[in-house]
Amino acid sequence: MFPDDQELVPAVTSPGGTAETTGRWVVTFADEDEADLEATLRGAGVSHVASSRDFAEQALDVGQAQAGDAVVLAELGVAVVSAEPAQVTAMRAAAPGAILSVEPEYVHHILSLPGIDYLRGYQDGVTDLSSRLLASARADLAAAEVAQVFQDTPQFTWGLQASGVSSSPFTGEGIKVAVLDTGFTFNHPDFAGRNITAQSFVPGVATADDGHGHGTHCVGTACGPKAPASGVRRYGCAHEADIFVGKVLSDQGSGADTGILAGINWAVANRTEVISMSLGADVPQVSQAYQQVGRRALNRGCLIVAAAGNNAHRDQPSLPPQQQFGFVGIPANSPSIMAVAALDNLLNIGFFSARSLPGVRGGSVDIAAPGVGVFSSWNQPRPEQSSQMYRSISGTSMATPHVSGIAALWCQARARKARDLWATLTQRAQRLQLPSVDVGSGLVQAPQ
Amino acid sequence: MAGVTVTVDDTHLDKIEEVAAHLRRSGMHVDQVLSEIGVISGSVPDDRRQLLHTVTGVQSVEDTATVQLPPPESPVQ
Repeated sequence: MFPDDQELVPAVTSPGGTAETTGRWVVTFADEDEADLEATLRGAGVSHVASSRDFAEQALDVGQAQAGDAVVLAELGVAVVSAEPAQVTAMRAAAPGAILSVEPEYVHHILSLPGIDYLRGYQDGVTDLSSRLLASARADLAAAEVAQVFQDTPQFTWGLQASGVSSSPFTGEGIKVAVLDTGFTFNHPDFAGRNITAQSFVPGVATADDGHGHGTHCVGTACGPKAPASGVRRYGCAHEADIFVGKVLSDQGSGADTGILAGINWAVANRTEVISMSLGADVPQVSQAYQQVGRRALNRGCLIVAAAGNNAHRDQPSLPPQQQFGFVGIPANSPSIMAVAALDNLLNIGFFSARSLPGVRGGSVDIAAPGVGVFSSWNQPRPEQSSQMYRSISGTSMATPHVSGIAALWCQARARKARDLWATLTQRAQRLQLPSVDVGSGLVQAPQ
Repeated sequence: MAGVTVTVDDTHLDKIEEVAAHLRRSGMHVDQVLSEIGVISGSVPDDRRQLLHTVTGVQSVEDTATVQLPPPESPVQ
């Protein structure tokens, strides 16, 4: 686990080669308690120990401190030690487990442009490597360039595989996910026994029944069951989350701000950790109302996740840029609301998926998720409508509930909410070889 | 008449009912007072709209917009 004495010889080399070191050691202690640090050091025969606490406001006089054997940085649980390798070994032996690591003290340099010699060496290296690769069979090269490709399997949708949900042990248990949409198909067999709270915010409509299908599809992706009753592949992320259905869109798929804001208010009043909104208006300005609402929701522990928009036409390169790439509309373009773009099963950007709104703070795509050919629940068969129990459709509407469901998994896994949850989702996303104006931090990933 | 969404500023969140009353006196027909998120929605005659901006505690007054999804059979939603 630790190198033996022979390997602890510091290497001082010239810049451009391996890193330059000072001969001293940076020792990281497991415990930040200063008394223990000093005791460990003295026990190993390191006698002249200075501490940052000896200086006013811990403004260490580095020159003065380095005159001794060791300098303890009291706030950090770290010491810089002048010691022979044998002393360092003795230190570790005297207090097993007290020391996390011993590393050479490196000398850092400003990063400047490489000199002529370095560039010549680099060029030679690239030329050498290129000729070796080109000398290989073309088939070998092609194999090295294969991108990630996902497919629906009998067990999982491609989206659950690509986002790591299929291998995640988390379920969303105890986490509330609100889906504000066209409602839900409450007697869908895949949701028997689930904890569902529902409310309609559509004027003149008493129940949150879904007469469109969109809402049922989104609830399915966010919170669908682990083992659907009919035996179809799993299509949902947070299979034990508490579901809050807010019908803010009519069966014809329309809704005014009034109902949408009322739905958000209800979700926040219920302190739902995630609020999923697969809806928007193609307006290229930030709405003050939605921005304040998003902020207030975050302050109350609720993360609002919204669709970036489907107003792009990336398959028509002859269109002017604003039409070709689209833009993130309301409410996703609020800085306080997480905007989600759509990817296909080759992890390319969906042809319809809106790009970040240029020049507008917050008008950015924040993250991306599976949004093309997404299989999920739909309205149950009804005699008066030719609808089905499941459908595969595309949209940033489909990408959004992937992020919402996965947010619920992270919320359960790490007990993080709101801004911390947002940070976790973006930090743990899989970076893609695509512009961040299209995919933000990349492909959302579930906790493993 | 136009549908409006009034955002209440942070310092008046706990007095939102007072702000709503003041808005009514200024001619707004108030439909909803959403106290968790600090928004008051309703409608106002065009000639009274500017008056709403003068009410203490009002941060912004915006037209209500409408969202419209594609039809159910659409492949992209």
